[in-house]
Formats: sequence, C-alpha cells, structure tokens
Amino acid sequence: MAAVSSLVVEDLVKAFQGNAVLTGVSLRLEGGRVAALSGLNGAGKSTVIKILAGVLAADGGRIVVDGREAHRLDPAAMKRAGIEVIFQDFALFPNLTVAENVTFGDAVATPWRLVRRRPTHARARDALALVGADLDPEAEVGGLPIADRQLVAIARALAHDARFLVLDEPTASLTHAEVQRLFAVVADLKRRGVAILFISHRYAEVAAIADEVFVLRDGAVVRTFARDELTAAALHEAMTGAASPAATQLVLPPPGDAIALEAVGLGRAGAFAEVDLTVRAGEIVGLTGLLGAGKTELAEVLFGLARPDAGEIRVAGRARRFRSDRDAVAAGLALVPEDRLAQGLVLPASVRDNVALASLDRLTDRLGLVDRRRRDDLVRRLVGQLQIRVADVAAPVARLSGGNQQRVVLAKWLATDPAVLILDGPTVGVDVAARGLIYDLVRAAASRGIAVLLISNEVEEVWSICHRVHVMTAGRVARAIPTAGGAVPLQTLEASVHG
Amino acid sequence: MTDAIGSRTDGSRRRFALAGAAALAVAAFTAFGFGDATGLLRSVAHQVPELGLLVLAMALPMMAGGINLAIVAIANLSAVATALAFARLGGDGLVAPLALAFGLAVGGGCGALIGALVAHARIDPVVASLGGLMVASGVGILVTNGSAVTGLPDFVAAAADRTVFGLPLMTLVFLAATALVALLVHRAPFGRRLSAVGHNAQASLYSGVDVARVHLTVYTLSGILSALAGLVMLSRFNSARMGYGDSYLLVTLLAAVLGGVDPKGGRGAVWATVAAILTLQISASGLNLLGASQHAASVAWGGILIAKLALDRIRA
Amino acid sequence: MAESRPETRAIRRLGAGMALLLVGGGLFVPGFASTDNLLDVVTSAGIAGLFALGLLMVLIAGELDISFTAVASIAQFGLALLFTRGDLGWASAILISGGIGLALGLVNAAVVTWLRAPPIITTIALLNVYGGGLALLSRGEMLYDFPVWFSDAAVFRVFGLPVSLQVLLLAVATAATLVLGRTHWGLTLRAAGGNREAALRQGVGGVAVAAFAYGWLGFLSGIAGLAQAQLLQAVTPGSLIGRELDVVAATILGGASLAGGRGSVGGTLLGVLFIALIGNVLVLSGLSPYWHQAVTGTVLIVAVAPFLRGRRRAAIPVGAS
Ligand SMILES: Nc1ncnc2c1ncn2[C@@H]1O[C@H](COP(=O)(O)OP(=O)(O)O)[C@@H](O)[C@H]1O
Ligand SMILES: [Mg+2]
Repeated sequence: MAAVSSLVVEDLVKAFQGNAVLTGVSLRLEGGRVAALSGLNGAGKSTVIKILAGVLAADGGRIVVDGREAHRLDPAAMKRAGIEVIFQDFALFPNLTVAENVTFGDAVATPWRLVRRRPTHARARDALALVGADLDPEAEVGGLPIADRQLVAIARALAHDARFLVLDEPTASLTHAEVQRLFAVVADLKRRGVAILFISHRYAEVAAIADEVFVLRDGAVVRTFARDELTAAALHEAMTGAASPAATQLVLPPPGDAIALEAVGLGRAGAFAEVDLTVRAGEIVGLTGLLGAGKTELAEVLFGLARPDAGEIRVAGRARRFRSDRDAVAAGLALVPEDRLAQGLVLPASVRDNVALASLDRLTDRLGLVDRRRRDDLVRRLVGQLQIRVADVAAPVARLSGGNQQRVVLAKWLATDPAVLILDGPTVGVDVAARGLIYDLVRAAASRGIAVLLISNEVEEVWSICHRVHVMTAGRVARAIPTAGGAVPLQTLEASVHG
Repeated sequence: MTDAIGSRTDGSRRRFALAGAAALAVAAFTAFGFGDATGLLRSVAHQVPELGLLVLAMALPMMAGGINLAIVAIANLSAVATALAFARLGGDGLVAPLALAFGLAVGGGCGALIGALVAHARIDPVVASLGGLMVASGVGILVTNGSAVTGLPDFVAAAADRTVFGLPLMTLVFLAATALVALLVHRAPFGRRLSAVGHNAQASLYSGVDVARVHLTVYTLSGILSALAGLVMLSRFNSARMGYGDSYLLVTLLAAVLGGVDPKGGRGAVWATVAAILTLQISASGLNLLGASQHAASVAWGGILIAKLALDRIRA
Repeated sequence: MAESRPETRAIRRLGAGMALLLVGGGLFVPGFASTDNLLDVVTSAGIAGLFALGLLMVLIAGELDISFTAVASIAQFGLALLFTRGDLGWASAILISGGIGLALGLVNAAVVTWLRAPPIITTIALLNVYGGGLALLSRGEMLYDFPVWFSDAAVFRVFGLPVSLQVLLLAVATAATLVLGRTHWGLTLRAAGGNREAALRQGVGGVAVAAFAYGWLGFLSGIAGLAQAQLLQAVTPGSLIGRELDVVAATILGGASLAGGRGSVGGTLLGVLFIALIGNVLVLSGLSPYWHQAVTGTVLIVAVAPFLRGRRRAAIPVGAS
C-alpha cells in the first residue's frame, strides 16, 4: 500500500428522536497523523465515532475512505476498511476471558477456524504488553476493574493492524503513567502510517499528541486548529463558546453553618475507604477524580442504594443507616444519577409521570388514589420553574433534548423538597446553552438552603461552581480544597486529579 | 383513562379497534345465524369470568415487564385446596368462607413465592414462574394423586347458576375484580410505579420506587386472581383437578397483547384486555358451535398473536 | 481467590447433588446401584438430553425457544408419513427428520428476530401453531407399522453402525463442546449472548447467530423426534408436547442463564441426568411418582435463588427484567 490512507467525513447529520445531535460534521484523517476531536460532554463526539464505526446510521452526509465513498456503512464493512474503534463504553464481552476479548477480531475474520489456545494467549499478551497491562489472559473481563477493562479495549483494537484507529476518551480512567504509555503507542502507530483520531477535551493531552484539532460544539465542527495555533485558552473558548480567555468562576451564594450531610470514615470494600466529607446547608461541594475512582459508588452509598461496610452517614447531625434509597429520600436526600438514559429517566413514560415518580405518595387524595389536579399543578409549576421546553407534559420524555431531560430529572427531585441534592455528572450530554441553565438551577437550589454535592469528571466544572472540592483517587477522598473566589487556580486542581 | 399507562392516542386507537372487532364478531354470528344465539351467549358468559380473571393475572406481570407462566397451575391448585378444605371440614356455616379464603391464600402464596424470586433473588420471571409452575402443579398432583376432587357441597355448583340483579354471580365477581384492578393500575400511585418498573426497573429504583415491592405485589395479585379463576372453575366443573384449562395460557397471553399490554412491559389498559377476551371468547364459541376443534383454536390464537406482534413491529 | 465462573459453580453444585443421590440411592434404595438401572436412567434422559443440548445453544446466544417439542413432533410425523409411502434408509431418515427440524428452527429464528418481542411469548405462539397444526393434519392418529430395518434395530444406525441413544447423546455433546469451546464461531455465539450490542459493533451477531442457534435446536429436535419414534416404534402427535418446560428447567439447572452468554455442555448433561436420577430414586424407593414434579421444581428454585443458599445479594441491584 503505497498511498497514504485517508478518511474524509463530510457533513454528517444525525438526530435522535427528533433532537438534532450532529448538524453537519466534517473532518479529515490522514495516515501518519494524529487528529484530535474535542468538545464538551454531549457535543456529539461519540455519535460521530459510532457512525464512523458503522454502529449508527447517519441521517445525512458521507464518508470517503481512500478516495472512495463508503456506501455500506455497517460495522463489518468499516472493519474491512481498516477502521478500529475503541469505544467510550468499551463494548467488551463480560462473560469472555481477557484473551478471548483481545483477539476477538480473529473470530470475526475466520468464524470456522479452531481456537488455538497458546497462540491466542501469546497474541493477547503481546497486545496487552503494548499498553503495559499485565493481566491474566484467562480472567473474565466482567470481573476486572474499570481501568483494566479500558486497557483490554485498547489492546483489542491494537491486536489488529488497523489503518485507522479511533480512540473515544481512552484516558478517562487511566493514571498519568498509563496515559503516557498510551501516548507512546500512539506515536509509534503514527510513525507506522496509521491515521489516528483521538477524542479528548483535555488541553494537555490534545497538545501532547495532536497534529490538528477539530472542535465540536453543539453538533458541528466550529473550529479547526493546526498544532501550532493551539492554546489552552483558544481551545477552551472554541469548546464552550464563551468569549472569556480563561475559565471563570461563578458567583456563589454564601453557605450556611448547619451541616446537612456528613460522611465519617465511610468505606465499602472494593470501592472506597475512610471517606470523610461534610456538606453544609446552602453549600456546593465538588467531588472529582478519574473515571473509576469510586465517585459514583460513593454517591450510591450516600443515597442508600448500596450499604457501607464501615463508617457512618449523618444527615442533619443524626446518624443514619439507610436500608434502601427510600430511607435516604425520607431523610431528605436526592440523587441525580450519572447515567441519565438508564437510571435517571423512564424514557418511554411521559414528562408528567417522570416528574411525579419520586413524590407519588404526597400526591394522593383521601382514597389513596393519585390526585391528578395536585399532580398536574406540581408538574406545571416545576416545568415552568426549570424552564423545561415541552409542548405537552404527556409526551414521552425520550423526545426531549439532553438538557431538557436533565431538568426533568432535577424536577423529579426538587418535587420531593430535598435537604441534600447529590448530582452525579449533571451536565453530561447537555449542550452548552443548557449547561448554564443547570448551573443557575444548582445555585438557586443552594441559595434556598439545599446542600449540594456535585460530582463530575470535569475538573473545570467543579472548580467553577463549587465552594470546596474533594479529589478522589482510587477510592480515597482527599481533604477539601477551597475553590470559591479564586482561592486555588484551576491548574492546581487539575494537577491533583491527574498526578 | 389509559394515559396513566401508555399514551392517549394509543389508547383510543386500541379501544376503537377492539370495539370494532367485538362488533364484527357479534355481527358475523348473528348475520349468518350460526347456531343458537342464546346458547352462544350462555357459553360465553360461562367461560369469560374464569378466562378474564386469568387474563388479568397474566396482564399484571406483563405490565411489570415480566410474565407468569404458572397462572393455570395456581388456579387449579387453589381450587384443589378449597375442594379439599370442603372435603375435610364439610360445607356449612362459617366453613364455606374459610375454605374459599384458604384457596385464595394458597394462590396468593404461590404468587408471592414467584414474586419473591423475581424481586429478591432477581431471577428472570420466566424461570421464576416456571419454578412456581412446577411446584404448584407438582404439589397439586401429589395431593390429588392426579385425579379430580369431587363431592363438594351443593352450593358450590349452584353458585355457577346464581344470578344477582339479573347478572350471573360469577360475571359480577369478575367485573368487580376488574374494576379494582383498573383502579389500582390506572388511578393509584401503584399503577404509576408499575408502569415505571415495567419500562425501566433501574431508573425506577433510582427514583425511590420500591421495585422489589412492586414485583412482589404484582405476582401476589396475579396469584390471587388466578386463585379466584380457580374458584370460578371449581364451581363450573363442580370438581377440582390439576389439568383443567390446560389450553388457557396461550389465550390469556393473546388477550393481554391484543388488549394493548406491551410484551416488553410498561403499558397496558385493563378494560381493553377484558374487551379482548370477550371478543376472543365470542369468536371461539362461535367456532365451537360450528364444530371446529380445540386444535384449530390453538392455531388461530397462535397465528393471531404472531400477527399482532408483527403489526406492532411494523407500526413501531 | 477470584470468584469462579457461574458455569463452574453450577457443575460443582450438581456434582455434589449427584454424588449425594448416588451414594444415598446406592445405600438405601434397593436395585438402584445396578449398571442396568443406571443405563436405563441415561436412556430415559436421552430425549430430554438431546433437546437440552439444543436449547443450550439458544440460551447461550441470549435467546429462548420452547416450541422444540412441537418441532420434534412434526419431524417424526413427517418421517412416519414417508415410511408409509416408501422405503427409506437410515441416512435419509436422519436427513429428513433433521432437515424438517432445521427448517422449522430457521423459521423460528426469522420470526423471533424480526418480531423483537420477548421470545417466550413468540415461541409459545409458535408452539401452539405447530402443535395444533400437526394435530389438525394428523387428526390425532397414531402411526406405527414401520419398516423392518427401523423396527429391527434396537438402536439407531449411522453409516450402518449401530448407535445407542447414549452414544448419540455423547456424540452430540462432543459436537456441542467442540463448537462452543474450540471454534471461533462458538466464541462469537457466547460473545453475542454476553453483550449483543458489543457483538454487533464488532460486525457479528444478529441474524446469523440467531439462525445458527435456533437452527441447531431445530435440527437436534428433529433427531430427538426420530430417536423417540424409534424407541417407541410409534408416532403419536403430541406425545412429546408438554415436556418443553422440563427441558428448560434442566438446562437452567445446568448453569445456563436466560440473560445469555452462560451455560456449559457438561452442566446441561448433569442437569438432565440429575432430574432423571431423582425420578428414578423416587420410583425405586416406592414413593409416589407424583413427587417428581414437586421435587424438581423445588430443586430448580433452590438452584437459581442465591439467597436461599445463604449467598448475599449483589450490592447494587439492577432490576429483574
Ligand atoms: N442512543 C441515544 N438516544 C438518544 N440520545 C442520544 C443517544 N446517544 C447519544 N444521545 C445524545 O446525543 C448527544 C451527544 O452525545 P455523545 O455523542 O455521546 O456526546 P459526547 O461523546 O460528545 O459526550 C447527547 O445529548 C446525548 O444525550
Ligand atoms: Mg462521548
């Protein structure tokens, strides 16, 4: 193959249930070069990748591989074209072993060949060694921690000689050393002529390996940077659309004195240990860290979805043992979960049923039936207050945009009058304009005296909207760093997450 | 009414279709003068209560995203339990309600066992209700040695012919049960939780819904409704035997699906399923009077079920 | 130590149960420990075993089918019908019954994948269509009076070699083990059952996997129909129908899961044998045969419900459906 491989994406358009997610994305990959695709959560990066992999069908646009338009866009055809993708959700087989997962491409290519254990193991080990992973080839993937699963997913893509390699946020769960090793592999592949598309929204990573950067905002590529044009401020501005040269901090209401939520020496085997944190009424406390650090597990224990094996949870000074999340709700807690589509919403159900779901018991009449008038009043009030744009509250919530959906989840919990609001990734999959609205709602909740624990993988987010921030690393929570009022620069906080 | 579960437009289209089908069936049989109309109506009135109760027993778990394969076995076991209680205690005075309550309790217990497996052990409803089916029918066969329990007090058989305000008693029992279930599903908070769990159990759990309790309640109710159907059958056959109503499983599934219950869970309208079983039963009785076999009904019901699923697939 | 695979746990559990039954039976049940009796048990489990090994493939692929008894009935009826028309050899008998089964299996695959409704509901409908249709066509008549070579052989013949039901079962088990454990295709099947979406993203799965799984079950159902006809020297429409749920129970007992991606050949065979052994012990010890179903059901429930065995439930529940 003498010619340099090239992959051109033109004007991709995609909508989910009538919500435009991509409005015209064009980009270009070339052999021997690393392109980065950057954008905030929900900008549509993974959607572009899934279309490239043939997993999702685009509504419009075309893909040209080596000068020829690809007409059959299915996963098998894209694999034959030499495109290997490391998906953000890994797409591994939990019931298969590490070796079987890593070499799965062989099974796809030659279905009726016999399995040969020894060569398979050797190939799997080699691919894993590239990323410095020393895993038992016979271990089942379903039992591995998240960072190891990420390495298996990377190894699977590397085990096949791809001409195009796409990595969707591969660094989200990796430590600094693992990221460096991954970058070395990418650099080596680049030397060997592979065309690479690297998805990330972190300036440091993008600057370290990208030859050019495509910035995706609200479904379109809004800017392209060549390597030497890229600065942190310019990337930030392109991603957020905010004209400010540097990240800004929002004005926060002053926190109260009363401690609303407190964890003392809290631990759960295999997830986290010795966690101490406090959230005061009216205070917004951030919790950040790598993917897999244990943030979501901590939130679920605080909310009674899982039980701690050590330590204590106190709500308004009283020690509580939650047997389920219903106990937590009764104690005044609310959790907006990370996975909105699977955990936050009942997608086929109406906006009305979703908003009322957590407070049905307060909406009954004397006969114990749902008091429709009171329910409808409540729903109408919250829909207005949270500016949820929906023509008919009886419409399924699946048809709403990401930002509107997230406000439905918030409405569901505000309907319960919580004293403590735990938000796990509240702006994931929310467009830039809608983010501002959610930040406003969070600040409004705090100013009404609600204690907010805001969990996010985006360091900048917690830095800009929290009074104090805890950094979580491998199940340990560090002492809170005061951030409000510019107490600590963003870079310092980022360093303590990725260090 | 149907927008509690399912959207309004779906509901009205479904009602329209069902009313049309029912009218068609009636019109066909009267127009062509098949058999004797009162005979047809009587046979329908006889079978609809037990079938209708079983349809409700099937529809509730389906709305929760599950299924209960054990409904017929539970119905028979409950009838056997009541019949044996009558045999042991005689049939006078206070004993009658006790024996009936015993049958209902047995049904509720079987349902609760399946519910516990689904709710607490998180077993797939197919496997859980299969286990329940084997245990219920196994125990029933064991205590009856596989034969019919007879020798019931006279009023048991008489109840099948009793009318209250001109309506057959069993029809009234069935209508009352339907009304209660409809209230629960469409008007009570439980119905919203049921729908949410049927659509997405995980999101319901994260919304503070006691998913385990919803499952437990649904399967227990399913068991009680099955037991009620069993008692209706006890009266109609004047005996109890494991193996009555063997062909009912398919027709209850079909009626539930025709009535708009989504086989994947979350949606369903109680009165529409009742209309569906009525339509099916009229057609079946019509065919029966024509002399068609039980097997023809199997083929027809199976074919219609697949056709309905195909229609839903095309429309989706 | 890392948690062992669920398949291994199921096999261990069943092994312990079998050992208990064998020792208990041998000590306390007269006539149990003879070779003849134990071989009889295997024979009586043979038909169910064939079905179960077929169903295993379907469950591993994350699907479900309960229409296989009707498929087997149609296959054996078709075969018996052809016997009355003319003389066939063993090879054509196997091809015909297997072929009918395979064809119906492929139909099932097409219907289930296209409808996208829960397969339990779809295949209950199919079971009734097939079973009812067969009863209508055959008018419920029993067919017997088979060719001499078919009645003669106390066994099954392949290429002139006599094959007993036990050997057939073993051969099928070996084939299933090879496909599942030693071919890339088996890997694909397990992968698709473990994470359907991920398999699709790798460009495999979907219709091909369903066709293979349902086709395999259909083919083995046809063979099971043939074997049963040979054993009984008669074909009664509906004589197999009604046994499907017991086969599902045995396969689940053997460690397969309705969620897909789980199950082993060894476990499946043990599950079938275990249920047959329970029946055998009950009969020999003079207890009522009516105990069998109640005991089997209880065993199934105890086997699938971890909390009944004192295992703590998972920390973060994900709902039952
Ligand atoms: N299957 C889906 N159904 C509905 N909406 C989706 C689906 N997948 C993604 N989205 C929405 O599309 C938007 C873009 O998502 P995604 O491509 O994952 O963004 P990114 O990878 O940039 O974070 C988000 O608002 C998300 O909620
Ligand atoms: Mg993404």
